[in-house]
Amino acid sequence: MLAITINLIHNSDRYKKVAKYTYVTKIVSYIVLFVLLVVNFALFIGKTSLLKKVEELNLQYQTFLTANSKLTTSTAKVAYSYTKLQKIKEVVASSPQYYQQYEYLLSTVLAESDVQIEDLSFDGKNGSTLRISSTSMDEILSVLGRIEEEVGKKTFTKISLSSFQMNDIKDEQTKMYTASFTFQFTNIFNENSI
Amino acid sequence: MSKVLGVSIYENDIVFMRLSNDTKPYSIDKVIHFENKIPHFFEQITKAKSKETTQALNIIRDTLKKEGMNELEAHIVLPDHTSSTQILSLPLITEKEIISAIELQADEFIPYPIEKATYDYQVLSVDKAKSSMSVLVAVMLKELVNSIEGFILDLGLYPLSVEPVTTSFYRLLFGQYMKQQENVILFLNIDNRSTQASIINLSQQLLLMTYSFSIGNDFFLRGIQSYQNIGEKDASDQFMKISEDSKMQAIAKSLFSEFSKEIRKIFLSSTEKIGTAPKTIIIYSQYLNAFQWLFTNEEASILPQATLINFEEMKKSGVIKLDPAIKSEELLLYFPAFTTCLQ
Repeated sequence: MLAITINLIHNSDRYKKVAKYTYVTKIVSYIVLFVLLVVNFALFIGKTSLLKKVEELNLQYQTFLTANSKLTTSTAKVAYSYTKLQKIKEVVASSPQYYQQYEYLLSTVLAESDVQIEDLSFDGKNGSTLRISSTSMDEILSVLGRIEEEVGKKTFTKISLSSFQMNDIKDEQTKMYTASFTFQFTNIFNENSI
Repeated sequence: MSKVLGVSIYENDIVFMRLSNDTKPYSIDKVIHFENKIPHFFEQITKAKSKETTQALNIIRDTLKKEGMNELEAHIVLPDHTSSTQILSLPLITEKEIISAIELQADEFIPYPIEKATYDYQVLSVDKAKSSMSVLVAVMLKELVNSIEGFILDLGLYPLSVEPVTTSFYRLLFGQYMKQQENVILFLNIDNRSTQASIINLSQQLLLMTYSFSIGNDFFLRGIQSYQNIGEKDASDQFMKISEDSKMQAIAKSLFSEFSKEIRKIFLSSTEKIGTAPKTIIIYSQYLNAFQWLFTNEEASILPQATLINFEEMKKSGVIKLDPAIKSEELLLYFPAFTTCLQ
């Protein structure tokens, strides 16, 4: 199709000016478009890289969160265990040292005396009662002697002979001597053990 | 959808047509007609603004603003008698040489020095075998073009193009907006002062010949005025209604014999130069019906049947779409305003 393009104002000053402005505007718009494209591309690249970074950080964050969660549980457990341990230590520290007290009574108080332990009890407050019997008065006395030796030492705060009995044994020409003692231990064993 | 304004300026009328020319159908939604109150418009417009010119300009500008037709880009079309349209046959030359050739040959077809003129050209065809080319040239007085541009700017519009009626019609014909059976046609634009004839090969999209003769509507109107001793307005009305008035028919026929002599010359020239005569005549004139009657009723005529240019046909073929308020039969005067927007 033949397109007729005759235009008699294309030579006028105004038309030339408008054409010049249009041309400049066109060129400027191309440049702006190009710049926008470049900026857009750069932004796209930047955005992609940032997204990737954010994704990595997110992943890292999730890992940290999980680790933190595990750590918190462990910390709690450790804290709990530590508290428990402290309590135990406290309890152990504050509770009477029955074994030492028992050992002490056997090795130091009774030693090698030929006596029978009729009753031995600990009251949980460093108090202890011991009832021994023997057919030999001397044996009872040896125990009593050792107890006396202990007086003045820092092992007991109080020692008392709560009863002494002498009974005849049937069908035998011998006598049975029974002595009951009450001891109040100091905290000497606890202090030594801590 | 962008809208443009087609402006057609005649001696007695100025018409505006608003349309969207992006895609078919071209939607025409508003038309305005003004009686041109500026006497001898094309002479007056180049001079300093008179009181009448300023008044007329203000009325048009205010009306356009009121109708929402201001601040639009405008294509302007002027009558053929304000310009000269020629086809130059040139050897194969460069763009610069075409300009020199036009300036050298200008005195053959314009009655003023080329320095006072503004022109535009378009290479229509190139024949490498014959090392020749044909160039369409339109020339107009620079002063007039600048004044028209200023006038349009004063109306609050932005002029995009100025061209004569005939080149705007070439756009219509080459654009194949009209159904046409024949390949070679004669297009006649009967202006007030002259007639521009163009022979066109539609199938090959070639503008073969242009010819101008100084018989136009005014020739008929003045003849009727002097025969009847009546005023211009009455003569115009009677010429319009020629088919109903036998006395007018006799007067017009005698005047038409002068007109048809020129047409016969064109046919003869066409046969000599291009070896064929047009098979169809397409006419555009403000007195279209009168010329159709004259062509149809010419006695012992060798002229082929004349075809009319009309909006109704284009509306039916889907080229244009009219606002319901616009009647196609009232748009004859607006045709150049439409064709100049087909770019």
